[in-house]
Amino acid sequence: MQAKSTPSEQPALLELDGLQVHFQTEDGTSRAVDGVSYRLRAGETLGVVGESGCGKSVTALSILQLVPDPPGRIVGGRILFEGQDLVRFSEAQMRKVRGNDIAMIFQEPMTALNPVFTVGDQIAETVRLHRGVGKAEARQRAIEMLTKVGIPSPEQRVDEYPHQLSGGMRQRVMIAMAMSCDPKLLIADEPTTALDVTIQAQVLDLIRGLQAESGLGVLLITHDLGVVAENANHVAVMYAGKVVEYAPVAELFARPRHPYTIGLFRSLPDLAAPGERLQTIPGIVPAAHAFPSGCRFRTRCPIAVDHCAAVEPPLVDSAGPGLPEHTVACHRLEEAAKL
Amino acid sequence: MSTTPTGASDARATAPGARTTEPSPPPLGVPPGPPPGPPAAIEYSRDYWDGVFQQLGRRRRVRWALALLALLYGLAIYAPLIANDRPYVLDAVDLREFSSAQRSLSGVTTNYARLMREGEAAFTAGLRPESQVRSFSEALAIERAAVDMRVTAMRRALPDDAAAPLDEYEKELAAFESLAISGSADQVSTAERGLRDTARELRNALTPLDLRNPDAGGVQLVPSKAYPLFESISRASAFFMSLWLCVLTWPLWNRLVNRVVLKGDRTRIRRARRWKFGAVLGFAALFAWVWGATVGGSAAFETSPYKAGLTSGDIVALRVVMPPVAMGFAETHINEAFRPPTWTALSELDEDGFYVRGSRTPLPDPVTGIVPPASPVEVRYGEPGLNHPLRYPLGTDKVGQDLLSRLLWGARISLTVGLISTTLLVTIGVILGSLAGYAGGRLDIAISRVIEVVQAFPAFFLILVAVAVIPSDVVPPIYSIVIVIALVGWTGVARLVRGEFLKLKSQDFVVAARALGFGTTRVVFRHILPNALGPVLVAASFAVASGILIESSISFLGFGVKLPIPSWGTVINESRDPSHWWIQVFPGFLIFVTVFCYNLVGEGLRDALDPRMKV
Amino acid sequence: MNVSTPHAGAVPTGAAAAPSALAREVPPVHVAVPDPLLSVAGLEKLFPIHRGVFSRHVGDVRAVDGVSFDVGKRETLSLVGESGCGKTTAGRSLLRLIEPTGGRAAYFGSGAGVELFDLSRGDLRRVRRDLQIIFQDPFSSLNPRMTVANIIGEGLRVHGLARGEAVDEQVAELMQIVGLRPEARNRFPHEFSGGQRQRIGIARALALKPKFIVCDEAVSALDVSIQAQVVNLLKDLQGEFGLSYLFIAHDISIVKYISDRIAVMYLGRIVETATTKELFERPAHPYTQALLSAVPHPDPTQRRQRILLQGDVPSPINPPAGCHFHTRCPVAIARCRTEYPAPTAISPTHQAACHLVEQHAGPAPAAG
Repeated sequence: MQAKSTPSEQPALLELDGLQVHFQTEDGTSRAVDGVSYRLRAGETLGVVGESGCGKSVTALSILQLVPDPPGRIVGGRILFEGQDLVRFSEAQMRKVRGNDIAMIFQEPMTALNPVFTVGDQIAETVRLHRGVGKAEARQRAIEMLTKVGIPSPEQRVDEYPHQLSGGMRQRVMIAMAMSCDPKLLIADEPTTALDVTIQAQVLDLIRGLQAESGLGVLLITHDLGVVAENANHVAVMYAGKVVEYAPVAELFARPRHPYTIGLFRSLPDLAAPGERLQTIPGIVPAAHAFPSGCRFRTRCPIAVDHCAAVEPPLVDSAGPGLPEHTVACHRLEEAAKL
Repeated sequence: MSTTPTGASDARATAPGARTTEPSPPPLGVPPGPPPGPPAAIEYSRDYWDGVFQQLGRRRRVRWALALLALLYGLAIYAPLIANDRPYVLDAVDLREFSSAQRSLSGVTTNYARLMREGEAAFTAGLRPESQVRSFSEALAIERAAVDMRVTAMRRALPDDAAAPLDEYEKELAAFESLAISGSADQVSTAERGLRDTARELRNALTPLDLRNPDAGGVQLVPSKAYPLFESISRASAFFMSLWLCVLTWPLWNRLVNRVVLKGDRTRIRRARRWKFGAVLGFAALFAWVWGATVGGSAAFETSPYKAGLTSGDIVALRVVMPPVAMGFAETHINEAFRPPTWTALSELDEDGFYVRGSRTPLPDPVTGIVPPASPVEVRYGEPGLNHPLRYPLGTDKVGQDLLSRLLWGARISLTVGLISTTLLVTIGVILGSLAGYAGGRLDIAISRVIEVVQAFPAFFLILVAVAVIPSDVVPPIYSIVIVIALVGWTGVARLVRGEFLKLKSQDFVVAARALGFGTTRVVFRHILPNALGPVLVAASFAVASGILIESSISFLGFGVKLPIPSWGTVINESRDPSHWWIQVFPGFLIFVTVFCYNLVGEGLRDALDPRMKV
Repeated sequence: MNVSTPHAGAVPTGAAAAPSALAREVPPVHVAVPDPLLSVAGLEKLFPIHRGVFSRHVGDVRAVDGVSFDVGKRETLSLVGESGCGKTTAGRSLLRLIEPTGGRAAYFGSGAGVELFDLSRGDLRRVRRDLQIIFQDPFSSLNPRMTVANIIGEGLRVHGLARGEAVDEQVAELMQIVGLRPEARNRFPHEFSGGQRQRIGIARALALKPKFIVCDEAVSALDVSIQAQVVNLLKDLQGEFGLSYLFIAHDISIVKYISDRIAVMYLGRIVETATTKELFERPAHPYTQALLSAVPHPDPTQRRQRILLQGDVPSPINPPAGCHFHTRCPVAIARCRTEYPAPTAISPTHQAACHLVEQHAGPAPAAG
């Protein structure tokens, strides 16, 4: 399960190694994240895609150790951020990391902003907390950040309340807040799902710009393969609490190997010829407390055999020597290639 | 149809064998391919209320609270059977009843005969303005019934061979009655005199044999069997008693009905649910009606003379079965006022009625210096002995009424007030709230203003004023309390329902119902209201608790039910002296437990109805 | 007025409607189709804004501001646009689930046309059998207290289309049609996944054998693989029952796949109508062009030139004077600020409301 590391590559900014997050529910233990490993280098974007309930958001929350405990709990694995294991960090240490080294933006900017404070206050608060600067300086920083994220007339906007801003503006404020302490890693959890396409384009463009400027690592969590294709360097495809495929973006889109990834691409209407039926992945995502044994995709997989139920396929590099890393967790890669 | 391509591809998804060995969360929507062999069994799942109750049942605290409430309501409903001064069974000669009938027969005969002789004209002329009976025929019927009652009472106790004088009397009475219609005035007066003499003679002819003095001779009376306690149970009590029995045994007979009558068919079981509720109510109503028509409902008084009669020997019993607590709620023991619970050492009395422990010995009056005398305590028939620890397990009040009995009976008022006021306020609140929420516009504004105004009323003082102003003989104060609690308390529910309606009105499933062309009634009652009721239920259980508290407070201030009817509040009101701790502690504890249980249930409901709950 | 199509003769068109209190200086974009099922003209929905103690009427939210379109038989017309453009309100006020404040809608389901907006409540209830709706949120669109059988069968019972056993049979059949196991009919909605719930919603709409269904963001809330299942189902049903869809969506890729024709809305008005092919090959309106270019394409090898729009959608309370889009338009000229553009016909089936159509109708920035 260890992600392959080539010595020539620069060290990873973030590396998840067999992360397991379980939830205690009335139906039993729910293995929402069950052995997730992926790597993200500084200045790059890692896209994490998967359907709802696949554990992609829980993984992100557990990086900042924001999974509510109880019922959730990190039960295994490591989260290496610049070589340090965040799982072993105390709450006090984590507080220094959150917002400072690692920042996060959420899907719903309306609920992620506090409605009773001005946006300026909220940005300044983060700055003062982590930088220990004075009020005036923090405000200056807030205006600076608002300018940076492309909010017109930031001197006025800094004193406005979240409800006075449009959805796109709010997401920009969220980004300004996240970027105010120059983090090294930005976790963007479905940052544009609630936004319209034209606004989504603006926000993604902004994140790309900031990244180019500061060498930020971005963990982009989304269900939209289009967004991933245009923004990520590497892609991790998650299904039922596991990474089933990990590859550079061009490689993944050109040669998807896992039957799930293949099915996902085939069901995109973008890639279907007009009039042609969409191909579908039959069935539904299994519930987190009742994942099937062995390969979790086998209940929906067109090429599953008995072996898939018995043995869980490991995530192994299937790329040839000299080629970029392309790891897949499937027993039947040859059959999948014929799909 | 299942051969649509979607269906086919979905069918492939179900791994071979998945249909036969169904995993715990079955793949619900996956359609079958071509039907293989016999059709699959229809699946069922718990509906919303099943889920809510199961969630409730999962919490131990709520289970305890529900069990305690069931117990309290059971005690309240069955209080007449548990604590009463009437015996269940009385197989006895009632000397007192016989002799009083015998003694008074001549009097009532005289009255009846005079009325009959003088006729309607004289009756009308002699009618006084304050008299209740205005018509001659009514007056005649009353007098005749008085005669009959005495004859029946005597006949019941007389052996057949000794009843000849009574037969004589009745013959003469019949003769007089026919004469009074057709005969001349002289004939009538003669007959009247004769009848009066016969009635007077009966007193000597039928002197009963006094068992304490058998030598004096007389008629040996026959014992008869009676069920005074059951006869005193009213129709309403019988209704609730049978209803509660059905409710408590629900799991038992429900299972039986499901298996035997409905043959385990789940479709029919689900459809039969409403029918079962109806059946239980119908059964209880039928039982109450039959009860009222045959046995019960004859007691007009809160106390009965049975214990005193048995003690004094006026009633000579072959067999008496008393209820477990043989104290009536209004039965006084005047020499045992403020007696502490009898299991405490403080409560011990000597033969003369003085407390053995000094601290409870009566103090000299501060003005006159006279030590109030204690007279010997009367231990009535069927009661535990003078210093028996269970004589008054919870002590007595200022007229020596048993606190245990009063608390059991008092539960009926206290618990009912909470329930009825809540039912009323929920009804008002749901109607007004849904009107405001669904109709919107001006109606909404109007109702919302009314809600704001009503919420500004100081509810407690309003109740006090209402109770003080409304004459208690027109509307009993307990009814005024209930009505005023409901009239000031509905606003919370109304707001809640209005909010729910506003929220649900724009939900897609309600829009869908309208798009399907359903009328307003159906949309409101099938689609919106059932979804709005959850929070109302939570509010209702808190409202019951607060209703009980309000009633107790009002009764504590002395504005509640009229004595001697007890409620928990009035019992506390019996004494505010801290040395009479039992008067405050026991009813206070009951109020606390009930309110606490209701709050627990309310909170449990709130959790169970939580949208995040897993059904 | 109505930019001529050769077949416009028998149909009431946008020409007939100018109901807005605000005098409309130009006709709305409206491409008529031959033998339509539904013809909407000048549909308008204003939400009044009240302020102050006396609830003074201080203005209107012009949610739908004179929208005209035709839906042909067995046709899928898509309404696309960003949130707040009025597409959902248009769909709902068309079915009078929200009472429209103006316009006309003629329904030709049974021979002679019926004016939907003139119907009494009783008549409307009968017509509603033919006109159904499918919702976006599969969780709020089903009554949580009712079993699936009751949800699907209630309409049959209420309209007297079936009774007793027949209801059960029809429910089972409908469940099979939409790909649900009939054995699950006594279960409750919360026990189904999002996609399955959406199928229940479709079965409910199908129960009354409608001719026209408004799909209000019907697949937007679903995961990609489930979305494909439902889209396929909708297509199958259209083929089988000859349904017409008004497909309201913001997801351009689904719209491209499912629609015959597309109408693009911006701030309460349709700015461009065309067949799907025309729209994607030759988007005429600058907004359409920007919208299409903003859609991320799942192909990392294609890096396209993207038209990035500035700013946000203006408030529908005070739409900008002139062309509503001029505040964000990359090619706006002085005339755009003062004059709302009249529709220009690019082909018989393609119209756009832009002063600069001739200059700017070009090939799409990138085609799939």
